Amino acid sequence: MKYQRILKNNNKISSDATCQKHQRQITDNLTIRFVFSGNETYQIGKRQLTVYPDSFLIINQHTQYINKIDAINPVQSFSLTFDGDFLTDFMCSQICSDDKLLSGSAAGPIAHSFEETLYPLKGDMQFNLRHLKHHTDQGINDEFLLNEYLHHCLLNYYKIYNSEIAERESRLPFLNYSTRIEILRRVNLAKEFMLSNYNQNISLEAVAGYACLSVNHLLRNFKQAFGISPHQYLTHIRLQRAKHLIKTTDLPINEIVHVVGFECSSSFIRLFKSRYSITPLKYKCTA
Amino acid sequence: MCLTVNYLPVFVKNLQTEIDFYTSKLGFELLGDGIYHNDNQCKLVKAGDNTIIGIIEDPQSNDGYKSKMLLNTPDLLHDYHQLRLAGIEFMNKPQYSTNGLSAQFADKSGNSYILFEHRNYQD
Repeated sequence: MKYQRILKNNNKISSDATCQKHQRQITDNLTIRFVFSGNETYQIGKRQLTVYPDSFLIINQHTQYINKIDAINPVQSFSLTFDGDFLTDFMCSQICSDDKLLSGSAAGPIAHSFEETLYPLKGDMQFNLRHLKHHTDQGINDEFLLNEYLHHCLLNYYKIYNSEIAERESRLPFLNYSTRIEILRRVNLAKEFMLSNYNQNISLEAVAGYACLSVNHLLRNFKQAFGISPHQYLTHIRLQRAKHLIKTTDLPINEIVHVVGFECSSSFIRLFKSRYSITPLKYKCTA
Repeated sequence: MCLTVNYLPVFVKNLQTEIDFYTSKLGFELLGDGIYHNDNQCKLVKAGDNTIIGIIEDPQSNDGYKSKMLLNTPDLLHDYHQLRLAGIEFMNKPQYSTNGLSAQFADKSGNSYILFEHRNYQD
């Protein structure tokens, strides 16, 4: 379903369904990108980020990017764009006291720069987004309602940001703040690379090279930030995406094994059962 | 033994006000008259899941029986918005918890209602 709703406060909600896309664009405001089926790749500078239904991408204001879709079935993409004043108002409502808000002294210049990376689409963000998409698909134009959802999507984003960025940064054992930030940025590059290329036969050297870290440096810092090794993280992504494919497609399990990057069916079944306490076949029957 | 619930009593100060509250604001269906304990009259209303509420007028019960009811919704933000448009004042903004999203409001008799959207975060 293809539409764009531009609200009176200049927030935008866009939906698209297409098999082919290759566009160079520049964001006018902070944008959150999702896909509900298939995948969409964004090239931002030298980084290539692929959004799947279990993830979303934050793109800051004035970022230039190329987005690409090349699929047999239409990819359902969805995006939310937040006006600067709406973001300022949201942030003031979160960090300022009621007294300051009432006296109008809270509004000052607030930079709306977010960590431009892939985040897991989970928890309340996923629920609120589904509800919002349902209403916009139905053609509901009640702007108060739509803005309520947008407000909650921002709230949910901050919760995810805290668990994905802030908490991970605090786990890194570097005294110097700028060192912590730089190491986190690089292990996040490694995470992005695995999220975007999980179905390829990727080596640790390739991940480390993308993250501008040595292999040993990557292993140590990734484990400190994420609590698991890069290999465990990659396995986790593959299993999660296999689970999604089992649930949402008719693909045979043997084919899904290869689609998500596993080489051996038996190890996939063992890992799947160990993680979800159910075999892939039983899960397919219950899904 | 297999006991069933006939209806759930709710004590209110003004019957007509609360019938309006249940039917026009919460969207419950008015079923008609019912008999409460000791031949007292009540009004029966039905929720979307067929649960029946018996509304019992008791002007003296200012400090007496106050009900607290959990109302399920599949989409809290939508219903929160609709109820506010209908004039219901919530006691708090929607709050997230480990099993969903909730917001609380009250009727004019002091009975309180928790609007609740259950969310399974494990799926």
